[in-house]
Amino acid sequence: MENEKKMITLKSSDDVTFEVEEAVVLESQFLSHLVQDCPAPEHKIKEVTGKILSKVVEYCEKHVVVVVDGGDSSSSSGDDLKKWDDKFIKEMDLSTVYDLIAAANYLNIQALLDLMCQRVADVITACKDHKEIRETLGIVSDYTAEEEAEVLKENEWAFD
Amino acid sequence: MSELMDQFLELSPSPLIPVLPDDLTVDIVARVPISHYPTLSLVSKKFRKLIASHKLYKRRSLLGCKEHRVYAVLRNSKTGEGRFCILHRKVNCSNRLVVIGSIPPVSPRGSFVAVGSKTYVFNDVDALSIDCTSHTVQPLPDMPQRFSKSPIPSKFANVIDGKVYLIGDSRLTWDRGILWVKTVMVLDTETQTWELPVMIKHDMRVGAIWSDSVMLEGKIYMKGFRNGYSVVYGPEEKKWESMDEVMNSKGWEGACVIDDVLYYHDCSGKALRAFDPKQKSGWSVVNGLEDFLAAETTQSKWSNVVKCGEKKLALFFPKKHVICFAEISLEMRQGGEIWGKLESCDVVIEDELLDMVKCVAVMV
Repeated sequence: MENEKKMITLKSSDDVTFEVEEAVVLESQFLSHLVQDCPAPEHKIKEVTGKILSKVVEYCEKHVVVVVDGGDSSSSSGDDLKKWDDKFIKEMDLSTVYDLIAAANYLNIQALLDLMCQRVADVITACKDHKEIRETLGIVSDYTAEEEAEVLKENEWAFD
Repeated sequence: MSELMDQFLELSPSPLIPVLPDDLTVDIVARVPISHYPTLSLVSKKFRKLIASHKLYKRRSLLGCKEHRVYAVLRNSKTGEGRFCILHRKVNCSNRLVVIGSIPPVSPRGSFVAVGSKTYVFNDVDALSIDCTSHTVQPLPDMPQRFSKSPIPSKFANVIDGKVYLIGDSRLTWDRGILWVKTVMVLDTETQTWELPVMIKHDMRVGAIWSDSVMLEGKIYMKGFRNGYSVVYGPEEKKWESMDEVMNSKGWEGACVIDDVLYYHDCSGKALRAFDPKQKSGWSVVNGLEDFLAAETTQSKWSNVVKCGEKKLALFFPKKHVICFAEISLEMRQGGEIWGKLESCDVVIEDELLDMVKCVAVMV
């Protein structure tokens, strides 16, 4: 069986190549279609850089292994995967997270997209006030002082 | 207004978060706990519009991110005015009950019921809904019949499959004068229209004073202050029944239903009681809370419970000059035993003039 595993090469926008099993590629709906429609051994993904594609491949490899191995789907494998996910995103900076969101969205890998969106949501949740949210997400406020006071009044109950 | 905001979001050129498409930002914000939304409204104009848009709440629903949000109607015993308050749950801070200034005073004699993300309020004739995502009020069509005007609860609202069932005694004028009859009025919340009222049962005693009412396994249980008045209404067959004797044996009020089990705090008995219609014994006491209830609720003359999460119960009770809120996790054990664990207990409002009329929990 081992020998029958079909390998596929993915090439990033900056020409970094990754050789992966077909099962790994199937985690991405976009790549599944691509591989089916065009049976070339190598596929160039122009929209994703090598740095980000390596993360995508790492994530998909981890997740595909668990699905195949965990036919008996013990709960510990789910817990292990969750631990792995936590570690995977823990030290990632926001710009990498954004790139991964864009890549997961483009390649249509829902679980990775969910994980990354949750990560940004957690970052927002951890901010102590609106100024910290602006700073963290790089948002410039378009409120005048009066307008901001008005919004504050509207939500008075939340800021007692 | 929210529809316009949805349109505005789509037309606006600059993204909510630089570098991310807005559609993905909506996905992200939908995952942020609702208690952070007021803070997010202050980030920028576009964020404020997103927080006010239908789209965001639809996405929360789609992603399974909806949360229970608890509201309470507090009555000022001096002015008689009712105010709609939110239980503001702050992370790492004590919880607070805060009056929502943007919602005008409500009648404390009204009936209140949560349907999805809205709270419906029924007064004597007029009715309104409060959108709990935006804290705005919309009027509803008047009720087709007038309910008895009384300073005590004369009617109760329950919801089954998006329909509000309002049960009480209403006034019927005919050629020989005025007659009070048991009445069921049904509001379809989808279409916002009243169905033709059902006025029935000539042999039923009218003028009942209800202590509480709940919906349990598709039926509406109306508990009278006097046991003889208690009734059960089955909306499917439009059938009235008398209440099960065991269920009627306790003077339950300020109750709620979680997973088809009725809960109420028995102030004098200092116990959280549960009624499970599937269990032979019917009533039981929620274990594990004895010390807490004995220590904290001795002075409480009233209390209210409401579901505030999966297997989570919110208990409101008064202490000297203050109102407290306790969050209790529930655990069903084999044989029907129920155990409660106290998660937190805070003084949520300090004002001796206030008492609680009703608490409701919406999903937002």
